[in-house]
Amino acid sequence: MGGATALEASLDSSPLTIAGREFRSRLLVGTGKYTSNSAMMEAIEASGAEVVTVAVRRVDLDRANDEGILHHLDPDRFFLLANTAGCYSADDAIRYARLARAAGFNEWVKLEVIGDQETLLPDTEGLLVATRVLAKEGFKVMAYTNDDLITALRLEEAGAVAVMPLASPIGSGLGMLNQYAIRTIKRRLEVPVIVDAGVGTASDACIVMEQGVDGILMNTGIAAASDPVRMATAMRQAVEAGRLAYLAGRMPRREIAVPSSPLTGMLDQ
Amino acid sequence: MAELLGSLRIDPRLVVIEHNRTILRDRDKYATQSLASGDVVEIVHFVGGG
Repeated sequence: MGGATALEASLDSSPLTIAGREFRSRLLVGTGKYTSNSAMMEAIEASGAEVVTVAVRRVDLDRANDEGILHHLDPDRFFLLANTAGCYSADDAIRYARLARAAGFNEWVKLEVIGDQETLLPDTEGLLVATRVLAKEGFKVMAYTNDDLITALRLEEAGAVAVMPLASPIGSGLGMLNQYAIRTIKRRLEVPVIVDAGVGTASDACIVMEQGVDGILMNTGIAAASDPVRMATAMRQAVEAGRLAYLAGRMPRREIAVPSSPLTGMLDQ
Repeated sequence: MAELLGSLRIDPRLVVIEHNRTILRDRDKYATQSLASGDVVEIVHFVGGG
């Protein structure tokens, strides 16, 4: 940790806390789409993330060692958050969540129930059903959802420990499409709000954090950059900058100019 | 089950096994878990994902 990071940590004195557990970074990262496992590990290190998401898939018997993420990622150093990506029904998502928990690392799950192949937008009905079932089974459910306030409120009622509205569709890199919706969700929910999906570059991440949300989860924005390590660093700094700007409280927007320098003391006055 | 994993050269600590749709929660019991013809075994692990 460098001095600048320590200073930033002291300026943001409250760590990201979800379900009573403190995390060292407000940036959560995925592990998909990297060109190599070494590139992935370098980018994750550069991002400073503690929480890393992983997917549950069948073992490919020909390439189990290459594919298996635990051959590359030390589960003692990172908090593994299994997702249910690729699940199109509550039943499938519940099955994947149970398999992930049986791996024995933790009882947390990033719950995805996808409703549409083209947009990968969530099936909110399935999401609510799966959240209720898994919360009852003791899972800590972090629910990936759209930016709809009512769904977010229902997910909280259903027992989600964090609600994860999208900035824009998964893998789109379009940035945050609806600032108002994200701010409203943050204002109305008690549980942490982690924006998930759609962040394409550092300014997107910064603007998301400036809305006051608790954190960001991203994957493609880093993995699909030409230089993922540089982008991971940029994202880490952008998340910290956006958080600090939010805590600092921005100046009011004005549609007219207001001079910064004194109007008095000009020559020939 | 343990024999099956051994023959596939899979480290049991890195996978989760579902046998006929039931998750085998106790890795110590793989050795005594017998398999019959027609059983469905799913072997999953963690891979990269977002």
